[in-house]
Amino acid sequence: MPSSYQFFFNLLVVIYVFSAVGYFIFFITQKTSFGLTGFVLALAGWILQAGLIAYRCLVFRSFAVSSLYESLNFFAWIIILVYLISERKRRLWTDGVFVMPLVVSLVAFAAVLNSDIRPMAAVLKSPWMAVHVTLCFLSYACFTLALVFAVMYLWQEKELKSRKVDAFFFRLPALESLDWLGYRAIVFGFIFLSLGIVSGSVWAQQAWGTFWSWDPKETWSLVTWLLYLGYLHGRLMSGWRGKKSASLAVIGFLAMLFTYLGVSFLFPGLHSYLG
Amino acid sequence: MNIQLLGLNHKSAPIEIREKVSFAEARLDVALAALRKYEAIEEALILSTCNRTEIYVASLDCSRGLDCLWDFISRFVKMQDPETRKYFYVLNNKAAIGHLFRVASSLDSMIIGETQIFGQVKDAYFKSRQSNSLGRILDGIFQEAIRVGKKVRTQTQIGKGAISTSTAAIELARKIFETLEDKKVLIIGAGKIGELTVKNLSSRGIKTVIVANRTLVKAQEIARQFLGEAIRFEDIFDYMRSSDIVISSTSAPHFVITRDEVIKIMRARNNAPLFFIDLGLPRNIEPSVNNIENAYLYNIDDLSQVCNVNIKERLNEAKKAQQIIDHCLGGVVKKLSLECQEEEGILK
Repeated sequence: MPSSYQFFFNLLVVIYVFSAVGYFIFFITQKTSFGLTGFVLALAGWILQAGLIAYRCLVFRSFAVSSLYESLNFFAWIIILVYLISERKRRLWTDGVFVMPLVVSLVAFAAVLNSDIRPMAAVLKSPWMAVHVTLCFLSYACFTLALVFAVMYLWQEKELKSRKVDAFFFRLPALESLDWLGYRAIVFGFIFLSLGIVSGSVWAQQAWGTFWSWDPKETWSLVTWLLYLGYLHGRLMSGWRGKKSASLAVIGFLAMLFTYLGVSFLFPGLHSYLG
Repeated sequence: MNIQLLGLNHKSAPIEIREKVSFAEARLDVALAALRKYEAIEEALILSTCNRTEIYVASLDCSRGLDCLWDFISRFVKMQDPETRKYFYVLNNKAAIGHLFRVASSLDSMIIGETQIFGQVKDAYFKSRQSNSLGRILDGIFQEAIRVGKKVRTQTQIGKGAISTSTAAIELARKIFETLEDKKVLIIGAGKIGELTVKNLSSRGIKTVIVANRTLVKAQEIARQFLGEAIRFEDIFDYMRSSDIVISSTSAPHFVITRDEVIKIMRARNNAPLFFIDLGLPRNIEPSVNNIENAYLYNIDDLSQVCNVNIKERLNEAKKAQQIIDHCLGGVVKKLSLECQEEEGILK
């Protein structure tokens, strides 16, 4: 990659790190100016990252998710997109305290990988790719946000139950809103994942001639989908709420993470970024 | 020119002394006029609240100024006994200004971080200015004190965190429920503390209040206060299904609300969170209710524990406040000593 690209990528990592630091200071001091700083930096980084992704797409004339490097970048970008949308009305800044470290670890992971382009098999080139990948990452991002809400919920719930309230207790949103936000994030994530799986099947039918081939990625995405289906079913049918829901959101996220990264490393298959 | 302070507060004097030395607002004008008559006193201000009475003056000479102040006290307060002097503190110049800054920032209050004192300092300042008792020096110092008080409030968390059981209950409720506006509170037992907590809750926006008591008449009495509904004691479990906060303060000798009942209720309300506050002694609610998912139980001890945490936080914040005060104090003292030198130069 040209050195100017590398420069902007490094700048991006720095901006995200500072954004995370801003949020962290906000969390400790509760001064909104730091929360706002974190937010503005996250937004600036997001715009820069959009430029970097667009640049790669234009130069290589394909949707830039052909390698693990690119997919990590795209994932980080879309997490911030979803976070910005969810923060738009609330302006609490507290979510960012948890979201930004995740984003930083994604781009830091990308930073140690080879950023060169990988040629893609001609058979896979299709507009369906952009649709399929975008939908899947949108669902991943929603599930990641749901994880953030679940972690905050479990933390706060534990404090309330133990009655040993410490200073951090007062810095988290109310249980009721965390529960509702987590639920909403999973509803959206579930819709995106469903559409992502369907669009993937259509693409597979075009490329390989079969809708479903029990490739490890496909199997695990089905497992993830079923877990979240269980979450929604429990919630709507059996009145699962609060701790139960939040714990399931954590398990669902782990399954999703395994679908995303674990499968690629452990079982090289049709979806592998490494092969 | 010297700044002198003669005063007493809740730490230095018991209430019997404090009530004798306090100045009702109607008497302030006369008192200030009397102070101004002393030759040694150039400017005067009286700050009188239920926890403190402090007289600030600008005097030409420290020892003469103090004599005048004692004379004023003995004449105005009818406390001839020199023994009573031990309840007062006397502070001069930098120490007096530093004390005033601490008072205005609520560091010297009985409850650190309370907001009332700031308004009282402001009132005392305006009152004294109205009666023409302020000159350039005290005026400047009090304006600075008001600035410092504001700064401490905005730059530290000194006023944050509940420190009474009823406000702690509200704070906890707001950590469970995002808003209290659409919530329903059920109060069991017509006890005083229960009533007080509901009062606080309704001032924070709770709309629906349901009162249950063994004698229905008493329940109706309280219900009327909050425009609520009085119900029979036997019906509490039915109403618990649709309530969000349950406050119990009966004098029953056994648990009024048991774990088994709450398990049934949680199922019926689809696990919507339910916050129990047990203010009864002996306790009204079986402690294991807290182990049920989405049910939260706090008793009086738990609430005061929350208060203790907050008080500790406030003490930490008080250290930051003191830094702000010290910083401002340095500036003021520097400015004043320059001005005083100039003035003396003119006088000479």
